[in-house]
Amino acid sequence: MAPGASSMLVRAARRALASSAATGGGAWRVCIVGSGPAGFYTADALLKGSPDVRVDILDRLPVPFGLVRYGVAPDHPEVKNVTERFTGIARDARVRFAGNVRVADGAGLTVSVDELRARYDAVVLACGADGDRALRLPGEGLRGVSSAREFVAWYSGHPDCARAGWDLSRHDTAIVIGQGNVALDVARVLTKRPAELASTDIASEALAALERSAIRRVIVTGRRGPLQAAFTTKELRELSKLDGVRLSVLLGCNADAGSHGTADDEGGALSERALAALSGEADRPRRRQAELLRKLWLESVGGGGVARQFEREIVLAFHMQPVGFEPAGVDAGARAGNGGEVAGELGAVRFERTQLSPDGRSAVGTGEYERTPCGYAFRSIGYLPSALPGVPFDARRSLVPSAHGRVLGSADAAAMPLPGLYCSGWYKRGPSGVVLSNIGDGAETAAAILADRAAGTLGARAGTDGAARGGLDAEGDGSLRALLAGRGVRPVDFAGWERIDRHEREAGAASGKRLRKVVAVEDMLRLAREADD
Amino acid sequence: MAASARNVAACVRPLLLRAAARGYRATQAVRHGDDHGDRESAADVPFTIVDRAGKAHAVTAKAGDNLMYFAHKLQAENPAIVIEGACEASLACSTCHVILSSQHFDVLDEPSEQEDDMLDMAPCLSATSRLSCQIVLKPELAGMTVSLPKFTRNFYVDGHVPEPH
Ligand SMILES: Cc1cc2nc3c(=O)[nH]c(=O)nc-3n(C[C@H](O)[C@H](O)[C@H](O)COP(=O)(O)OP(=O)(O)OC[C@H]3O[C@@H](n4cnc5c(N)ncnc54)[C@H](O)[C@@H]3O)c2cc1C
Ligand code: FES
Repeated sequence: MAPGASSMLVRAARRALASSAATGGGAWRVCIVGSGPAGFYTADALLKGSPDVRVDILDRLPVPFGLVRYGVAPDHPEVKNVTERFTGIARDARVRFAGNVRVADGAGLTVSVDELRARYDAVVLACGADGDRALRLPGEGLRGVSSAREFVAWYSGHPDCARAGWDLSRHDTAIVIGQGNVALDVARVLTKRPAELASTDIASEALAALERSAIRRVIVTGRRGPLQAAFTTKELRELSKLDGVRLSVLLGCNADAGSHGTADDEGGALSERALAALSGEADRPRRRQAELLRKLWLESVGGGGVARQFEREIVLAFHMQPVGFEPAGVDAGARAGNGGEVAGELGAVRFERTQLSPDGRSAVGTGEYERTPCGYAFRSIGYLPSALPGVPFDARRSLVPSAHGRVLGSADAAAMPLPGLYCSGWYKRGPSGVVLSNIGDGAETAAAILADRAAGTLGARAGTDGAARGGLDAEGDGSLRALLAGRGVRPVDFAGWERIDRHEREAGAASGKRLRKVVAVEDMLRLAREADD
Repeated sequence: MAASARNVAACVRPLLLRAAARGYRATQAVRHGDDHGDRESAADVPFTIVDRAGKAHAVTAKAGDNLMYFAHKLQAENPAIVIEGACEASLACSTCHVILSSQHFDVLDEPSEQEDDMLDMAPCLSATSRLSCQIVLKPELAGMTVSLPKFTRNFYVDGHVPEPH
């Protein structure tokens, strides 16, 4: 054995001893920041992998479950059934939940990542993606231009967006920029009959705004062609079956003029021949999606499909790259010369028509422009993880640099993992994928932690002075519990959340809703404490 | 669709992963075959479950059992048999995805359009993939092999490309 290796082993053994002495028995502690799917699935894999682990799960909100509560659409309650699983995990005797604890720089009512690292053997950042990708186009600041993320948060009753408010009664056309599932969620919520949303857990204020909505047409635009769209077949099929809503598929033609084009205009993206080429086994999802799009497109151009009465229309328009937002009430001459910042209310979105690059990966502008009048535009081009103080951040990719769930010291290819610091879910891989994606992801991060523990390289806690130790249930002065108490932070435990939950269900039952969400943080805190005050 | 028409795809094809990575969504609850009344008198259905590490487990269910809920009952004694079932059999998650032996796949009725839409988001989709929450066991399925896809082990090592939502 190399001389260095033996002393490393001795150090590892000493560290293992120190940590078991500090917590009694073989218990070791992991702190997970974020109680969305990634947080819970990482906890689950840790609990399965180690009988003596203790897991504390923190969230900045008093309520758990992240985007399952505040992203998954209100009319998709089945997707939210996964909270039953998470509740089972939270009730494991080895798990503690503390809501209303924000991880930031340690000032005010927050706690820092370094403070957590000093108290836990491992810290897992599973705090999702709560920022917006911007288009950086002229006129993006106009009234009427907003992000799908904020709109979703608002109709989901997220405390951060409670006051945002959308007056949907002023214009008849909305444009959604982007063609992922979030874009289709927004289009669906904007066009579905409000009566069909009334029994869901949609925020009451949003429901009222939808009842007053003047929107008749929602145009969902993508830069690339129908075969590159990011939505899934499931979500598309649902749009095509909405009562009272017509779904039109446009292949790269003027959405405003309502012309539909032919599949052959677009190099035959949806032609029989193109579909036949998708015959390989691995192409199955794309082929089924292309078949559905072709069917919908044929119906749009009038070749088949049943004539239906409709109140509203959703248009899927491809090959449209937005280049700017124009204010209402500006004449064409003034528009042409205006490249700078504009104020006022949105009147139209300007698009450049595109073609696919030969490799099909990107959209290339054709130099042809068009202008689509609208009163609302929703950017739906991605959520962004935010940087946390004390944690390296790759600003270019808007991601924490990591490998297999281990946070690396920098974005450098040769960077080493930071001992005891991990990430999971959207915070680790960016904002894509389904709830399911977080299972494999949580398993990978947990496997890295368990392997590092076995190798004795966790080490963050043992590296600091012995006073700073222990989590939410520890008595010592150096514990997280003591730290939070000293700062005046009042965590909400899982029983507190269950009181909020019970209240929401009862209030929902009383008003014919699945549940009626409490929106204000102060109200959540009051309900959570009703029993212990 | 007959199993023979679709060749079994190698697990962890980047394309499928990407399809899974960009998906999500749902519709109404479909739950059948769970805890039916006369379970005791029903015929035995012996079959094999291959866990995510590739180990085979011989098990015996009853005709009429729902495959996913039956597997959940096994998990207490056999922790390697993990089928998630995140949406409680509502066809909204595809976490209950399994791969069947092809002759037994053909014994079952074709999956619904809704199930196929969900399967299209499942990692490791193969020609004989099904959602186990939609399968009610019957005597003709005796001897089948139910493999749990290995996505938890190599989902992220093999060419996963995040795409904006
Ligand atoms: C609009 C929308 C609809 C979706 N619909 C579906 C669907 O129908 N089906 C499906 O399978 N998937 C859906 N998804 C995807 C799914 O929601 C995500 O895959 C999943 O939620 C990601 O999990 P996460 O735990 O990484 O992040 P999140 O769910 O975002 O959880 C992060 C948690 O961390 C907390 N947090 C953040 N910052 C801090 C901090 N500084 N300190 C403490 N806590 C913090 C947050 O409050 C939050 O609770 C949807 C996503 C969106 C955006
Ligand atoms: S349990 Fe969700 S689809 Fe089967």
